[in-house]
Amino acid sequence: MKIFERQVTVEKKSYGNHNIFIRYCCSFIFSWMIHLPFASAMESNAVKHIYDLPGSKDISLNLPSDIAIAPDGRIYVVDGGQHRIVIFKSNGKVDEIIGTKGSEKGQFLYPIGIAIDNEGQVYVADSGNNRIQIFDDDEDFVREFIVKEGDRKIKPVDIAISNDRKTLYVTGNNNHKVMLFDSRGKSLGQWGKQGNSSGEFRYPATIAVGKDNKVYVVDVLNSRVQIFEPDGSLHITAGEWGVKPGQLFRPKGVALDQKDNVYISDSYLDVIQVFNNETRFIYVLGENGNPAKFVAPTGIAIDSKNRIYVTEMLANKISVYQIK
Amino acid sequence: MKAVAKLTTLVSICIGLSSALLTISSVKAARQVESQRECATCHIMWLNEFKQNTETLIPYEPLPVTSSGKQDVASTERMCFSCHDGFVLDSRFMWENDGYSHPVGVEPSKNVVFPTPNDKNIFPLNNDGKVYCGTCHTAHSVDWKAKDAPIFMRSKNIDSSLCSSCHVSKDRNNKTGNHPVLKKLKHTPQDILNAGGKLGSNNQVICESCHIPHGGKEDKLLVQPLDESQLCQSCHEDKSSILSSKHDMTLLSDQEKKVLGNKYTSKGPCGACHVAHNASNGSLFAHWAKPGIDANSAKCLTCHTEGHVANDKLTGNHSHPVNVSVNDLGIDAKGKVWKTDDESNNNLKALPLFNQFGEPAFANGKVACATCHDPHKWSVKETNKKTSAKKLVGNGDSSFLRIPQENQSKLCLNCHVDKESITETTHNVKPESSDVKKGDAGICKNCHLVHNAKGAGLRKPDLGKHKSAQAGKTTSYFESWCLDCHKEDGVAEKKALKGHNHPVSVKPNISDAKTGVLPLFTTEGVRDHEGLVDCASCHNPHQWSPEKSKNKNTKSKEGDPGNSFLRLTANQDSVLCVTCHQSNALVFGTDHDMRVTAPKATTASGYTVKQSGVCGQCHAVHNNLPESGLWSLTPGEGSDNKEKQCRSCHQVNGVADAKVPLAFNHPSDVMVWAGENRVLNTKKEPPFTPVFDEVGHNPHAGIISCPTCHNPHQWDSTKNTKGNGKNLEGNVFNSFLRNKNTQNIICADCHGKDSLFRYKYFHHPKSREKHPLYH
Repeated sequence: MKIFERQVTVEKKSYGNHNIFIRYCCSFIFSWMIHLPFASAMESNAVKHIYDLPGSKDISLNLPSDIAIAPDGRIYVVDGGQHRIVIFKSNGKVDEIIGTKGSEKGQFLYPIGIAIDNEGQVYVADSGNNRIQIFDDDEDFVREFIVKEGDRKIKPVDIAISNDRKTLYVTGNNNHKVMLFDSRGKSLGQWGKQGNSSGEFRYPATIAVGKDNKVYVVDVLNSRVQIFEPDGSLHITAGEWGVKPGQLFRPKGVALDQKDNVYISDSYLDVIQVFNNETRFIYVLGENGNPAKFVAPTGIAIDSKNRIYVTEMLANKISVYQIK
Repeated sequence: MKAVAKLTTLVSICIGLSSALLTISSVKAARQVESQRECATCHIMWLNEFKQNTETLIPYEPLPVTSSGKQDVASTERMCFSCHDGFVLDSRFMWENDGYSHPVGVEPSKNVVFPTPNDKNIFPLNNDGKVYCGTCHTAHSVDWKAKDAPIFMRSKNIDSSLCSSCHVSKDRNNKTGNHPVLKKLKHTPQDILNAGGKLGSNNQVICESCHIPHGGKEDKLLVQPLDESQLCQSCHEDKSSILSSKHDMTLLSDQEKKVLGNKYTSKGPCGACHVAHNASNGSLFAHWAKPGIDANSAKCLTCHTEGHVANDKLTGNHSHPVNVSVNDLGIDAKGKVWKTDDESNNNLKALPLFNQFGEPAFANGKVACATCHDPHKWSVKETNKKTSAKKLVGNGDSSFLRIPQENQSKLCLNCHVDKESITETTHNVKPESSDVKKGDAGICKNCHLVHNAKGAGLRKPDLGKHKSAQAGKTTSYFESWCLDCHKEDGVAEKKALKGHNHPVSVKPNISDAKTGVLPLFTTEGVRDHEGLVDCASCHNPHQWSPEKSKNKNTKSKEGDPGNSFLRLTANQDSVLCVTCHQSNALVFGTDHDMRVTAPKATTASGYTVKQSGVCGQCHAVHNNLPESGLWSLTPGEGSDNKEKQCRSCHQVNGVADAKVPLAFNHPSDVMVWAGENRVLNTKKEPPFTPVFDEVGHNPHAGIISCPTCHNPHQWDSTKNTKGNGKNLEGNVFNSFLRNKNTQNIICADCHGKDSLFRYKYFHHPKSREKHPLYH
């Protein structure tokens, strides 16, 4: 297997605007570095396709956007086009459906992201209703809170929970920030602002928390994943803008495997690329020597058995692969 | 050291210059990268990487975006979705259900007209002449001078103006067979908004209310499905009950039947009859309409015609009239409230009327099928959803009627206000009768069928063929109708027609009748001023008394000549009778007017003259025993029927016992010519003295009886005047004699100048006895 080994990261832990001169210099240096000779990363044999969801015609998904795996192995899919959460058993059969279109408790309006904490509590970014809804592991509604910045309602895109369950990280679509809440919805602070400097965002999307409590934020139009320390300082960045292996065009999903490798989906390039825990690009996820091509992949999740679940938004399905 | 220092300085200078040069070039490159990146956010194929010999995650494919176009991938659906998937902007509703989108890669339809203001085509086609994303969209600035349109569009789109700027054939005029737009909605169709449809300013329906250019859930970019007419009924909620009704063609019709090329099932219950665009008839009607009747009803007959879908529900040859005005029924229907002169009728429901185009028109509108029927609502009351449409059976409360009959014919009487009084008469047969079922039309249905009637007046089918009440004749139109009930063993057995009755199917003597007052009919029961007398000429079966105010609570009352469903009263001055028999009205005030001579006398039915009327003292219209003369009195003794009738009164102890004639009749075996047939009446002048047969009929030649010489209705033949109300003693110049003088008397026909002698000879008791004829 050929692996393109190159470092495409910038270690910046500062915030705020940078001098444009510095940014242009950085861009130049990036441009110079990525033109280094590299081995092809397109021939991968990292995964094996297991099955797709839904597995039968009894139920259909409509623009699924994100996915999360519960501690009991059940698979939670945000079926955004149908304003609901579809829960599959670990064997792939439908177990439960939560919600209908609406704004009442337990209803959804174009939800996008989902997360499940280590106790099985389910958190849904109910984007159209500008709120986070929380359900217990029996799918019973627990509570909700409106996502706001001052008086301004924010559309939450995704949510992640710290390992101690004390902090909820919510990405805001229309304020370009990561917002921190406690489990009752009380604001604990916020990171970033709109911009393309380090620590800034242009449409933060999905978000994940590593075992070391680092926070992984997909920064869509900046074509990167920014990785923060729990205190909000930028640790490192994965990926950069481009169309070559190791580069990102429309990153949407992020997940970590058991080795803390970072998986990033790209909804235009239709691939998932893998970076190591130092954000060094490893390979493009592939099977039988060919890159696995998805149809607008967005949210991804990896379970304890190292199976990766990929929401293919325009294919209206979830592809499940075993990571080797 | 100096050399070293110099070298160091030189190196430093070189490094500094190099750094400065590098910095300058770096800034320039960074600017290029930044600029390139912003454009390449969509124009990905502009990236230099594709032009280098490097491995990329996607191939370099600058070509087609559309199926055959040459546009950059920037305008591909995938590129749009890569941001509009909710993670950057949320336009997911456009892609729901694999969404239907405005076609690209096709040549514009001939119905599409591209606007070219100032000779500039603002909606460019692809290089191959086909529509592509960029035909409508551009990511770059367009000078609209007003920020009242969404970005990325090539033109303003105020209330779907962008759509209609090209789709002119589907533009805003329902006269051209298109669904109206820019029409303010009475309520906000929340379902449409939830589905992604939009309303125009001021809550108006616009193109985008029903169509979504991207993300439609149905063909034609519709925001809601049609299979159960969900889209239509988001606004037209009042028509939602058509689902599962007998008009739900998706359930009832042959599944292969099509509307404009589409199966009923694909277009939903509404689509079976309507199309939103390019309808050929009003009300967006999808089908041909049967020509020849009013435009509204023609649509119904599209299906309710032999050989068509509703073959089992035809209207028949005799059906309720359409294209007529309710104003003729005394209803003021100009406004949205119907009124009549009778204030007690002002609870009338305003039913829809229609103009010549089949459109609702309150002022001067005409009756059409949809006046009584709401084709979208099986029952005003709750539809029985438990019964499948195919098994639904209509009655007077359902059948798409706008007003349930409720056994009271409420719908019928909402228009036929002049017939409302029938409800309080004996003609209001209780629904419990065997002939009327619960939920049926009620009283009107007893006699009428609105559709498929057997004759004019919406006659219900005969229950059997009846024998005419007139011996030797066939029943007239209305007689046969009345006999359905007024017969032995009939519902109106107590009022069965028996014996001898007033003739029908005859023409009134026009010279004697007051025309236009009472209706005459053709043999088919159609009103005709030159028609024949029928039962309905004298009787109005819908109104007990000519005076409507006396119409209350008559169900248990026995009728008399002042009511009994007569159009005019027959009591008192016998107005009804003398309308036709005007010359006989000369009897009024004479000795033969019982009001003058015997006001307390009664008829065989026990009526005084006040009750029976002047005519009714001698005549009864129905159920007479004598075959002629409609005689109501008990006949006296006589040699022929006419004499017997006269002697009903002119007998000893009779009403006229003071005027009992001698029993010296002309020999009954001598036949003479009647009236105008008399040979000697060469001038054909009156009096046309009648002769009779034994029964009392008037043959051409017959015997001479009392009425041959006497006209019992005219006291003085020289004066066409009524009597003076006094009981007069007569003489040869009056006394009801027909002849004014001795000229042209019938006696002279045979007896010539010997007549007077013979009259005196044979009418004297002694001389008469001498003659062998009278032995």
